[in-house]
Amino acid sequence: MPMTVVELDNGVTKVAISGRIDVAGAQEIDLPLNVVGGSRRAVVIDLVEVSFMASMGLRGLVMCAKSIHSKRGKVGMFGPRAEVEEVIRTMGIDELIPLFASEAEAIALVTAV
Amino acid sequence: MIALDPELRLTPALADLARVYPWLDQVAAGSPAAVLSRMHVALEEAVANAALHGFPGGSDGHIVLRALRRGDLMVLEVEDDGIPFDPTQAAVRARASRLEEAEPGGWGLGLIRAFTTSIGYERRGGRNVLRLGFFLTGGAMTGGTIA
Repeated sequence: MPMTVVELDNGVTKVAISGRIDVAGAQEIDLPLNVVGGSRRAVVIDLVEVSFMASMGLRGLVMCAKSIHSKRGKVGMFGPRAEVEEVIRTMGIDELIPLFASEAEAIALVTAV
Repeated sequence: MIALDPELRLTPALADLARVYPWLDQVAAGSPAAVLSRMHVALEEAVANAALHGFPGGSDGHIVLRALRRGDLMVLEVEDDGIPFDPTQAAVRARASRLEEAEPGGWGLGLIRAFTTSIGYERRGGRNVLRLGFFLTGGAMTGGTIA
């Protein structure tokens, strides 16, 4: 499974995604991302171990974020390698889900009152 | 243009898409890393689009990938015998600036256009032929069309 979910302090949930998030990878994380989106209100998405990201992966992230946002929750993502960051910024996904270099910055966003 | 061996023949089955990445690494070996990563994304999107939408009746189809090279220009050709679809004419949805308004869809096409130097399409012998061009020296990310 290219995704793990860890409960941090302060009610923050960390979703760590890894590997190739192409069509097949996106299918694997769609359901668990839905579960997180439907049940958590402060989420940071760890992209450090993502080696490749395609549009289907972006779709999963945005659907999850929309779900969190609809409950007045907060979500941020952090740590993508340069190639993955280029995909995210090219499609303007960082304007929808704030993107940070570090985990601490993402946590600061989702725990801010 | 010079054709680079080998070509890759795929079925539209999801499991077959995993063969695209290692094939591109092979035929585009030596390309600058930044260009290679854009090639991987654009090709993944083009092949996934053909496989997921080109064969509504089932997976009894063919997708052939070829790499062509002329000087600093690398062209990746995606040929499929699926239903006619010209990605160069398809509309790309306006970008949303707020999460509430974001509707996923069309992002694959957006990435193809953003990451290629040029893009060309023709319907040839009952097949879709999409050509994605990349300048290996970097430079402008968007440009004209391949005649």
